[in-house]
Amino acid sequence: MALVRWRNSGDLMPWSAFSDLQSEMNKLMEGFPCDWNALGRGWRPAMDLVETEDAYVLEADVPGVRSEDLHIETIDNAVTVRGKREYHLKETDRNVHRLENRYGEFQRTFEVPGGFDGDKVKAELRDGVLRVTLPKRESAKPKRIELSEN
Amino acid sequence: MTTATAQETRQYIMPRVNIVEEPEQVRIEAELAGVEKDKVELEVKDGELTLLARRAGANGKGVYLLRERTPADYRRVFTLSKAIDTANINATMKDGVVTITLPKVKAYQPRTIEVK
Repeated sequence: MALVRWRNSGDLMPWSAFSDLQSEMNKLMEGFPCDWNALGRGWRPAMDLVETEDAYVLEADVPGVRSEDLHIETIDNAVTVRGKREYHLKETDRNVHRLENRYGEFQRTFEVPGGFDGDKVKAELRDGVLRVTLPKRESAKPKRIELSEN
Repeated sequence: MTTATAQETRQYIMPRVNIVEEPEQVRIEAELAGVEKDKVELEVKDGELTLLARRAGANGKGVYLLRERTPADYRRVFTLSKAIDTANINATMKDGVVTITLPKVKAYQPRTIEVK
């Protein structure tokens, strides 16, 4: 039996078509407003985003997460919240009846429609709720225009 | 027909819990995001432990662009086994998680018997 040297040409590489498909799929997934990592592992804390007159307020339920394990980043009109919660069973924990709480890492990014003042963002953690206040830019706040008298 | 009072129509959600049995006690860890320490009520009655936690109300007015959190209080009832020493149940609260420790009565705690 003759051995034919395998050539790395396009015709003999059907996988290249798949690799293109995969990169196309990845691009598609990136555009989705959904955290795909959270579907398989880790957890996805529930969040609210509220617009008030002078700020956008992001609130997340993150019970049991320490402040040092939370990271908030802003870039342009987007805010990213990243965090983790680890579960350490004690040596005496041999008999676990229920384990409903979620552990692992999460990351979510929101684009705030009107943008915010990145220098004035505040974040606080209280009773397991993270609250990020993103003040609006002066130009984005509602203004009342008085009619000039003629 | 009875008229429902505000108390009765209140919405509750069941908090997620971990229940871990240790040799001398049972530990319940319940997630209560947004609940202050003094808003947690624990009641033992007729062999049941009721956990009731009132969540801080939404503050400020605004338009919700995204709403995933449930604005309800937490309630969950646990049936206690006769191994639990109901007089000595303790609870601590930290970062929105309440940890309830339920010690076992002596007769249900493991003990080693020495062979003479």
